[in-house]
Formats: sequence, structure tokens, C-alpha cells
Amino acid sequence: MSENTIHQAAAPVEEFERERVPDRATRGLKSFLGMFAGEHVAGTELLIGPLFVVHGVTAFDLLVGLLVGNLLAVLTWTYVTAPIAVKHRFTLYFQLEKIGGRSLVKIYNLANGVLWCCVAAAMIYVSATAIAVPLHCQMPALNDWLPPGPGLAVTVFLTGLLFTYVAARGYEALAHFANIAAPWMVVLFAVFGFSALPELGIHSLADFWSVANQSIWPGHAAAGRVQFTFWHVMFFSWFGNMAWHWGMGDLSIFRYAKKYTYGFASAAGMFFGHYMAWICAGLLYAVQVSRNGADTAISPGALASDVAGWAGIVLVLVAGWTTANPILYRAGLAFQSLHSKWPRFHVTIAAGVIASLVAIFPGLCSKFLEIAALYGLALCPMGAIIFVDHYFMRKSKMLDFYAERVGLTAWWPPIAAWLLALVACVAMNFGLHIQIFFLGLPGWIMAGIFYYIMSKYAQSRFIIESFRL
Amino acid sequence: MKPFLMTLSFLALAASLVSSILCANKGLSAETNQAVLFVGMLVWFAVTPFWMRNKKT
Repeated sequence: MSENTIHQAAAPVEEFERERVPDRATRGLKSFLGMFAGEHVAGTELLIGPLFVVHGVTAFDLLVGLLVGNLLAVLTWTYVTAPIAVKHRFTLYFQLEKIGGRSLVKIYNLANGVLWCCVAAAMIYVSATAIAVPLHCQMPALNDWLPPGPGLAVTVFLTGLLFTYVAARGYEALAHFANIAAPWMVVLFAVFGFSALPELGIHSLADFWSVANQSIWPGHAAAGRVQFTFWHVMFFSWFGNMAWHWGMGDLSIFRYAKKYTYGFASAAGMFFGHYMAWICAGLLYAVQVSRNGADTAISPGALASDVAGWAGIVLVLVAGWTTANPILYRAGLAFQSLHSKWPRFHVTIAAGVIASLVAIFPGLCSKFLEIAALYGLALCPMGAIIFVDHYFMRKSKMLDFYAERVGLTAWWPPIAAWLLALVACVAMNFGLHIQIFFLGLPGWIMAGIFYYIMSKYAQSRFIIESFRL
Repeated sequence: MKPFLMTLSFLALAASLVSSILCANKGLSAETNQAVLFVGMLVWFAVTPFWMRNKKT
């Protein structure tokens, strides 16, 4: 997932932000394949793989659950996101503005900025664990919420400040470095997997299944952790990038596609990235536990260093940095959009300092699966609103792009539908005890239904009142 | 020049991959594998910037 959030940073969002992408600017399939393959190998993969082990998945649940979930994610990109993107060729933001006015975009940006700070914090922490290896910092235990000592806290905070400063200066140079590093990172994740095998006692394919069930994914959740099943794995891998497919964040990318079938390019990210990277990261964690059963801490730097030496340490640093950087930059832009007179440099510094402070607490990273699910859940209702506006408004004799057509800066149905869907999800979580991993789709569907019903009521009422005036 | 540099870059990646596969088959020690990975990394980052163009973002 994860990672998942760097999509927009790598997308060519500076162009055609407030107009339809012309046909001459569309791109071929190859550029989408490269973009997805590179962007879904991020620092947080090194948290997600071990967290699946901690949550007690079995080998079958993981391998098959990831296969099905990632396949569903690819199909969602292809048949939900890409068709709307190719039809209108607008960014998510411009489309939201047309539907709900600038106020809706501001609220969306505020939510996005806050969530980006949390995701950036996880990236900062991941990179800092790489720096902590040669510094011999004491690492936190699995369920620690506080850092074990000042060494790690200072390392994390200074790492965050460095990332923040670079992001505030603009991410062009580091974006180029990220492009260069991407193929190497994909290969090194595969290297992690191969290098971990002999330590786990796997020397042939025949060894793999028995060791996988006994030692790597034995199916016992750690104390205080939800026991994961096939369904958890499937829904997490499907919804890990929910904000981008169901939530329509990738309208900004696929508006450049010649055909909606380019959505299948997301398979490069889901299978070379998520599927392979999460499994390989799980193998690294299994190596650590096999060496010392009491050492259950998730420290990506140490995990990678154990099997790949300095190359592993550099990978963790680079994977975290190249993804934290655009996220911090985008968080700065999101907050700046609330008040155009705020200088982007200062806003990005403020967002980065907040992210760096959050990153100090390792408990946040050990709960990254929940944070990733929350990220998707909070933003996905916007995708439902765009979906309903695109497919159902005209068929139901209502106006699509209502705020733009009527000239409103704030149109309440999409805002109310979003908030109401989130309130309903919170109620389902606390009242019905439905875990956050399963709330994404109900939240999306409810937001769509609420938006439709409210629009039906509000559009007719608004038109009547306007007529009387 | 560019084809030569590209070849060098991809050889570095291939060496990293082959080294880890050999390590998995006990054909190479973990220490040697880590050394190959380190050298592969240096070659990749030293050579690739000279042929990979800066994509506009």
C-alpha cells in the first residue's frame, strides 16, 4: 500500500490541472507499467510483510489471499477508476471541485494532509531504522508505544527533519533519484527473499511449503493482535490502495491513458511490488525470529541488514526516503491550499516537523496495517461520489458537476454524504465490532447511496427555491 | 556509450539476483553474497544516472 500514496507525486500533476488532458499528451502502456512497478516498492512494504506474520496468517491465507486481493485491486483500477479517468481526463481535485465546489476540495485536502503526515511518519521511521543499525540504537519491542531510549528518538527526529528540508526545497532532484533507484529496489526485494531462504532451511522448492507453514507463517497471532484470516489478507491487499482506486485518487494518473484497459498496468505494482515485496519482507522477519525467538521487534533496517548487509541498509533508507519525500511535499501543498498566502516552504516544514514527531513513537508503525486501512476508508467515499455523479446523475434526470453548473463554491450533498458515511463506519466499528479492514466497501457504497438520495432532494429543492427567487 | 552503460547497469542487477540465488542453493556463502550485493549497488548507482533520463514529474 503504502506507498501507495506516492502516486500523485510521481504523476505529472503539474500539467492540465484545470483542463482536460488533450489526446496529444496521452501516454503509452509502457509508462504506466514502469510507474506502477516502481511506486509500489516502498519503505512501508518492510512493515506490512512482518505485520502479517505478527497477525498470525497461515502460508495459504497469505499466498492465496494476496493473490486474490491484488487481483481485485487491479480489476478495480481497470473497471472502476480508469474508465472515468479516460472519459473526462480531469484530476481528482478538479472533478471534486466541479461536483462539490472549492470548499469540498479544501476539506478533502485537509483530511489528505493529516493522513499523509501519518504515512510519512511511518516512512521516516522505516528509514531511521536503517540509520540506527550502524549507530547501534536500542530498538523497541513489538508492542512498545514509546521509543526505548533517546538514541532512537533523536535518530528518527533528525531523519525526519532532513527529509522535511529536502521536501520543502522541492522534490525534483530526489524524484529523479527515485526513478534511478526503483529498478534496483524491485530486484533487491527479490534478493531479500532468495537470501533469506537458506537461513530458514529452505534449499529446494520441496522444502518451501513445510517450512512456510511451520516457521515463516505458522498462523499464531502475537499477544494483543487480531488473528488474521484469509479474508483479512484479501481485503487488506485489495483495500491497501483504496484511496487510489475506489477513492479515485488515480484519476490524476489514468487521465493520461489512451484506453481504460491501461488499468491492467497496475498489475505490475500489485504483483512485482506488493505480492513479492510483502512475502519477501515476511521472510526477513522469519529469519530474525528463527535466530532469536524473543526478538519480535519490527525493525526494517536490522531485518534487511541481517540478510543483505550494507545493500539492505541502503535499500531501507532509500525506500523510505524516496517515498516520504513526495508525501511530505504533497502534504505541504494540501495544507497550503487551505490558505493560498501561506508560503509552501514553511507549510511543508510544519507538516514535516509534525510527521517527524509522530514518527518518534514506534507504536504507530506497529499499527501500520490499521493506519493504511484508515487512510483508504477516510478518503474512499469521495470516489463513490464521483462514481455516482458519473454514472447515475444524468440517468436520474439530475445535474452532474452540479457546483460548477450552478456556480456554487460549496454544495452540501457530497460533503454531507462523505461525513455521514464515515460516521456510519465508525458506528459499525464500535457498535457492531466490524474491524476496520472490512469497512472500506460498505463505507464506499453508503457514501454513494447517501450522495444520490441527498442530491435528489437538494437539487430539486435548490432549483425550486432559485426559481422563486 | 549509452548501450554500454545500460549493459553495465543491468549486469549489476543480474549479478545481485544470481548471487542471492546461488546463496539460496548454498553455492555461495552469505558473506560473499552480501559483498556482491554491495558492489552491485555501487555499480548501479554510479552508472545508471548517466543513461537514465530525468523524467519530468
